[in-house]
Amino acid sequence: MLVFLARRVVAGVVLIIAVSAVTFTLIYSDGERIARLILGPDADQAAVVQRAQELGLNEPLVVQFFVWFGKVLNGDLGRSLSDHRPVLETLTSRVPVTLALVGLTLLVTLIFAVVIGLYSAYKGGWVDSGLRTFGVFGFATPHFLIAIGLVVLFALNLKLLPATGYIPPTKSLGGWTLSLVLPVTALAVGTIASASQQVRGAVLDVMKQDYIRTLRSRGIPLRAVYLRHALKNASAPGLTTLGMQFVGLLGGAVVIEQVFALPGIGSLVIASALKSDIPVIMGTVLFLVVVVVVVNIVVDLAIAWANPRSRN
Amino acid sequence: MKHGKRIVTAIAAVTIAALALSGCSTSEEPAAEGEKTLTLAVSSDSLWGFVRTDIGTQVHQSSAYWMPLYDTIVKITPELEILPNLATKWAYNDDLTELTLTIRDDVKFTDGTPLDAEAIVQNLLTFRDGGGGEVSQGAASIADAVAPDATTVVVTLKQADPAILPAMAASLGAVFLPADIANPDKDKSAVPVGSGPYVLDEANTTPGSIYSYIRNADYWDKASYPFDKIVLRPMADTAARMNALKAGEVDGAMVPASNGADIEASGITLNTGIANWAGLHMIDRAGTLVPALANVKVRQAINMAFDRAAIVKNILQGYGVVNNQVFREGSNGYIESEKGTYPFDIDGARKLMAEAGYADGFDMTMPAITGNHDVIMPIIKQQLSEIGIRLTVDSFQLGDYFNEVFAKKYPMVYVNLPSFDDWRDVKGMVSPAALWNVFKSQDPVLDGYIEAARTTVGAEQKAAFQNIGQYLIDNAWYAPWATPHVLYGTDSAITATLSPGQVEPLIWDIKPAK
Repeated sequence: MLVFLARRVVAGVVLIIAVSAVTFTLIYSDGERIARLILGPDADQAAVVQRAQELGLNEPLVVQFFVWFGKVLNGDLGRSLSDHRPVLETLTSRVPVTLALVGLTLLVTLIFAVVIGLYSAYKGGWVDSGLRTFGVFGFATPHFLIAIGLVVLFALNLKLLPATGYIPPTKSLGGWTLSLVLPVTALAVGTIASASQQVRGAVLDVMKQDYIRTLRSRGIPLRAVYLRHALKNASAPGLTTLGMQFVGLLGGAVVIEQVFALPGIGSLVIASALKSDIPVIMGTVLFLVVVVVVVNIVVDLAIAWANPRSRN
Repeated sequence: MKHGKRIVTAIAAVTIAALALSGCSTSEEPAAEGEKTLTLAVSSDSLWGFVRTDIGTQVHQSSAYWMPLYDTIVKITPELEILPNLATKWAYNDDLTELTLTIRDDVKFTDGTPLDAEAIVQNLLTFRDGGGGEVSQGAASIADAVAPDATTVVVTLKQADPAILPAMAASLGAVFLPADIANPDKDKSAVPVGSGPYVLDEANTTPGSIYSYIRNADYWDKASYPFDKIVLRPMADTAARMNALKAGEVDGAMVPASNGADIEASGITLNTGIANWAGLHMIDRAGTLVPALANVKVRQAINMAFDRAAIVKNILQGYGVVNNQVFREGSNGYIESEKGTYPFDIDGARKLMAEAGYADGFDMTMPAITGNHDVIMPIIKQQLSEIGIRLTVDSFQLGDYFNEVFAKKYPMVYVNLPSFDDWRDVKGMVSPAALWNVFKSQDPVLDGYIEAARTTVGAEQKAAFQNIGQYLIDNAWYAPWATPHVLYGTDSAITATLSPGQVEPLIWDIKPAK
């Protein structure tokens, strides 16, 4: 188990360095371009060249990367080129918003996917067909379309929920919940649709196994077989899916945070990309890669623990 | 059965908890009785820390972020009239190269330091020497500034500069605590010290999400600022901004032309302003890259290849006015009698092309910004092909685009360039030194007109601008199509007036509705 863990961690570290290096190469390619974005399109060319020099953007790319990476190892992500705040401080204020959004979405997904998936598998027939049709639509509709539909209905017409904005839970727990209802719903529709199909499929697979027949033959009620045995054994593929969903949701959050003006990582990465605020982009990318690596390791561990065969 | 019930119970519990929470207060803080709060959506996040050197460099910075915090030396009205603020009066010497300002003696920074003439001098000079951005360039004409006493500032100019006073009503005129700007090690993200009508309410500010300002209790001119609190919410996404405006979550927001009709239909007032002219800029007038462009008939033909009314109707969604000149209608440089010059006339344009010796047309390449120019470029290509010009388009990202243009790699560009204040327009795109006079086109006749406009005032200056306007039309330096309207939506709680050149109202131009 330890060897397994060590292998995963090493692979994760390699991935983190590789992704950082590639991102760095892609966005740091032209120092004067960055300087012009800071100074504005009408800035004097000489001033642009000077600013690029001041920011150390004229150094060879490899040098710049290692300078940056060296600082990161010391816990220094640098400062934003635009608002001059330490990147770590910005991330600290932004990360909870995205984690709340993604975490709540996962929770909602987990609950609804299990209920819908089980119900679909258990009932079969037209209920199953109906739920699967809903699944296809839910999965195929882009997040932002669902988001706009929800805003028009619940915020603009019914005036039940806020259309935009985020209220920290420390300010008002009720406000916080309300401000996340629409964003979480918009994100969750797609994940519930796909995850419930996973649950349904996995449960049906398990139900075909011999030991299920044995259980049934011992007179255990069908419902109990579903809930106690089938669901438990179908959970391994579910965990993998959940891990992938988490990563996918981080991507979905980018769009949803924009539409609902939530101050999370997603809106940060878009804003900083538009103004080439590279320390912030690098910090955000680093954070996201680390999260993805950690989530994957945790999921792998959970599966390995549940199923010793997968350790190799 | 038992399990099924448990799940149902759990879901019910979660739902009830959520509903119970939603019953709690949702607003951040209840407003005090009679307290007026102004909430605005701002399309960009605060791009700077709060120190001066970077305000100079940030041209896309919304003024809403800094205007509450800093007093400007003078103010400007939507009619471009200069009004007193920190400076109570001002006067030029005879050749307009020395500007003497009289400064109020009762203004203090929020840390208690008096704001005197010396503070203004330090600000002007620091600003001139730092940054290097567009606004900083606006201070380039300042040779020196001195404070002979606590209430007098004498600014000497390298040469007469009609743009210097208007600039003192904008970011060049914002006055920062001298101790802050003199200290290069000052934390650039620190809370700013100014003397403005408001101070940043740190407890209710979350960068990137919400910026709150409350009254500066000791402010000297409270009456000009009716709101007790200003809340700014950065929203880069148009859909978010429009939803917030329609849902009544903000009182005002910038509205793109494509959303204009929808916003108007939802009962929001659309205020219009003007900032730019839109059209084609033939920067290679000497024909360095494309010899044909050196021929005035070719440039005139390009002017006649576009249906300006259709562009206003379809591209600007009706939010704009046709304009065949680079100066705004009604300004000193605008020539009423030339209103119909270069009408949409493909046959006439072809004739001009033939007369110029280009009956078979020629090839040309234009740069485009990916995303921004996706709609307009195919139209330009189509219309130019009507008169025989075979256009190739090179697409660039926003950041690369300007480097390509200023590197003189393209003969003609599609532009939205400032058109609201004649002198600043000339300085920005006509004069030989102008940034947007990319190939530095120059003509002694035109130079004479520009010099006259710079060094005169009143009727004499107007005549000079008329000469410039006439020259630019006759020589077809540009192919302007329209003056697009800037749109700003406001709810029933406020009224706003947009100053020329501004995409958002200046805070002193926003008032509570009666």
